[in-house]
Amino acid sequence: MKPVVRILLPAMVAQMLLFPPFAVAEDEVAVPNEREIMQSEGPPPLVPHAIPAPDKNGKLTCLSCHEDGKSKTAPPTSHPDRKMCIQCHIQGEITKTVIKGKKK
Amino acid sequence: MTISRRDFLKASAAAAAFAAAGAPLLNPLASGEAEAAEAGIKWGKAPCRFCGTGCGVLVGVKNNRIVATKGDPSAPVNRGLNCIKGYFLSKILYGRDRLTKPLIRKGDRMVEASWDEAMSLIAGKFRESIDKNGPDSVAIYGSGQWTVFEGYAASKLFKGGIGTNNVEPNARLCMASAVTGFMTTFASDEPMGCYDDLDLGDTYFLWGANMAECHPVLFSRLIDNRLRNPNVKIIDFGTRRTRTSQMADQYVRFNPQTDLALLNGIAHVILRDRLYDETFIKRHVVFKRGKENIGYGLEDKFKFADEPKLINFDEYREFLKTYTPEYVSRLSGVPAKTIVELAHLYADRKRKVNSLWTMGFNQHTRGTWVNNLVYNVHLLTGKICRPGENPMSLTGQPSACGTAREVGTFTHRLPADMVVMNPEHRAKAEKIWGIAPGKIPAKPTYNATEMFRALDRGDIKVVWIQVTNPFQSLPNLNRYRKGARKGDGRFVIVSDIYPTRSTELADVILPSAGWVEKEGVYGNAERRTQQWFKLVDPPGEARNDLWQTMELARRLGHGSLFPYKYVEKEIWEEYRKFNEGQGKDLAPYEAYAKARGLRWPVINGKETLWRYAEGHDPYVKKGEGVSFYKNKADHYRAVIWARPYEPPAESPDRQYPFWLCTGRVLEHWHTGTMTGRVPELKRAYPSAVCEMHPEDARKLGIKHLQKVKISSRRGSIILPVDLNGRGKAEKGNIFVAFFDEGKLINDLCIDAYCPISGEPDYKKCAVKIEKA
Repeated sequence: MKPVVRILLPAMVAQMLLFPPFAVAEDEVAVPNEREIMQSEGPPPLVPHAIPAPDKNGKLTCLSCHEDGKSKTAPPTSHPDRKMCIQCHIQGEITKTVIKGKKK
Repeated sequence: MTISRRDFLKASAAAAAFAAAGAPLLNPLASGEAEAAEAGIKWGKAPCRFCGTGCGVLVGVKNNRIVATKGDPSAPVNRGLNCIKGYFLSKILYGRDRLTKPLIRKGDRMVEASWDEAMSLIAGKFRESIDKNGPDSVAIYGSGQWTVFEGYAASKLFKGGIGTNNVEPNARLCMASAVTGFMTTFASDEPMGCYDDLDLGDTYFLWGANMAECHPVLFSRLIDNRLRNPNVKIIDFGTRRTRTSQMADQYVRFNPQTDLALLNGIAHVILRDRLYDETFIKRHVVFKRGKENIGYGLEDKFKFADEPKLINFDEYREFLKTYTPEYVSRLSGVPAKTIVELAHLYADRKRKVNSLWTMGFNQHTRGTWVNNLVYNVHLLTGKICRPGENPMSLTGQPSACGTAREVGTFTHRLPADMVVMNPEHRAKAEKIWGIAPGKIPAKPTYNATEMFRALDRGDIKVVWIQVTNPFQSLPNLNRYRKGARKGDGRFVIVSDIYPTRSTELADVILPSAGWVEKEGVYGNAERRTQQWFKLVDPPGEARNDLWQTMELARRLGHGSLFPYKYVEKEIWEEYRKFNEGQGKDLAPYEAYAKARGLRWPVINGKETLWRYAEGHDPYVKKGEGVSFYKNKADHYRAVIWARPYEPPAESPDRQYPFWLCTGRVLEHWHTGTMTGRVPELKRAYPSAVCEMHPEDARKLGIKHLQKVKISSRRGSIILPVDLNGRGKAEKGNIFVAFFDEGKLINDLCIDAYCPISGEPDYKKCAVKIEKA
């Protein structure tokens, strides 16, 4: 078990007992930090949905759903500081559709 | 269980390789290491196989097979990060169609043969051609992906053994203008700065470089810098709106070829508004002007020699007079106000300014000039040779610097910036190589384009192609592909790991070892020399290109040139003699086995981050501040060149109204022979498309993903139009990536080249577009 998880897990369990979660908190606990992500042996996860075209200013919109855990369907990133998502996460087999307008 | 002696030796060698990778340094995550050990994976270090960034990767091996790779957290270049190509490195050697046996052409069929048969045939063809037509009828065409050893052996055999300067790398197609830019301005190749400037500076001018896709890890260093420091500004000069433009603070669109005028315009404003560093100019700079109207190398056997003349500061000022912001604006399409603002930004004393470029400058019929012109701006403002402010030429291949440029595998070059034209340089090489004085010919022969023109004409009969794919990557490809199969004694040998568009034209195909299937050294764009050990065996009968070259040498009676036992280490120690005391000093081989690369000059075990700078470069004496110590002829000063704007070889007209620009995409590397065999990368970007501006498409009545026929004066191709792609073409421009072996866009490219560097222009030619 990763050291970070080892420390965080009991804390999270305690928190869940005190404040029963509405969102899927378990997933968030399991997200390792960026350093661990980069050291994992496989490639970064592929994108299972069509990558939306950049907005009208030409900016990527990935983080509008993946920045934090607020969207229920999009897994949050461990490294929201890296804005160039598609440098590492490329188009994979399309198995999902993007749910639009769920943020905020 | 029985272990043969051979297995035991193999196992011990592998164990040594992993031990030397520095196990305690390998992985800061002790838990991860423990898990890896449980899974039986052993980790070794290597530089990435792809671009010139030179990321460090850890390679996980199990049962003689690469099972995983990850970014090396100890590697200073990438600090554990990779781009998506790097993450898939574990798959590049395991495509189903890996070449595993030598193949010899029998009519239209390629027939399996033994190494002995193949090498006898090759040696016979070399001997026959040399006897009949002289040594200049045989050639080797290599690569910026050659390891240092492979390039060194090829140069030594051809220049020092066979006695021909017919040695060229594909780096001629990508880095040659950077080399001639450095040589003419500083009299020594390769940058003064290093990647630390990406963290330390605050102002970055990108010139025609789509770093977000082509140097992603370096670009992420820039973006990280901006996250830490809100003052950081990234300005993207381009002829096409890219992912880089999206992330930049400012995108400056200019008309193709007018970078020459823009840089002169910026210099004009710097002089006009007295923004230059007078002390720096007085102490460290001379001014020169060379020949003008220098042509485009379109004719066979084109020759050019510059005639530089010293001029003074006033004459330079006079030369710049015409490049007013208004005049430059008319040429370039950049507003005059923007030109003035950016000139002030370049010269702002409070800002640490860097320029970055790659193929936009280098693949240019005035590539040498435009390299000179960007140095001018840094020399005028004194923003050079200081931590955090430097001009930085990025490279596209993993050892374009380490092998092609430093070993000097160009027709005119020898190791350590030496050239065959100089009798002292030849004498030094002949002494180190232990060959008879006068053996190395004094005249350079062909640049890459001219080499394949010579094959087409029949002046070259036998050519050996290693670690590259010219019959997809040359410009005006039609001519050279046909030329290779004209018969009449022509004989083409291709060494590769997969079937390519070049192996299909070969008379003999040799199966090679790739990447960590052999021991190697690569040198990246920041002068960092990186070593790796062999970690897995090549499949079947595939063998190292180094062995292949030495085997030809042996069969031609030049075996004495390679009297080594531990070949790689001994070649290294011999090669190092060229660099000693030349400002290019390299460390002993063992040092590289331990380190995550070292930036030369390495003196007393210490690397150099900033060349020519006191306190950083041990060659600069106390009190000198900055010394361009390699330029003895100009009293250790750098050269500011008066180089004018001149139009490209071919511009759009009524018949061919569009500009065609070619280049790369994130997922694929060069001609896609490795990345195209990784299913995930292939799926993400399966085939080439034509990026076009939506308004141009509307005028032509073309819809998104509709097929069009694109034609130039040299060839045509059918591609779907992408109006919503990751790059946005500007009006009047189209862009097509060149990785797709099924769509040879280079058929359309013009084989015009920079007369000084010999590097072709893949970024500009005229095409027409019709519905297909």
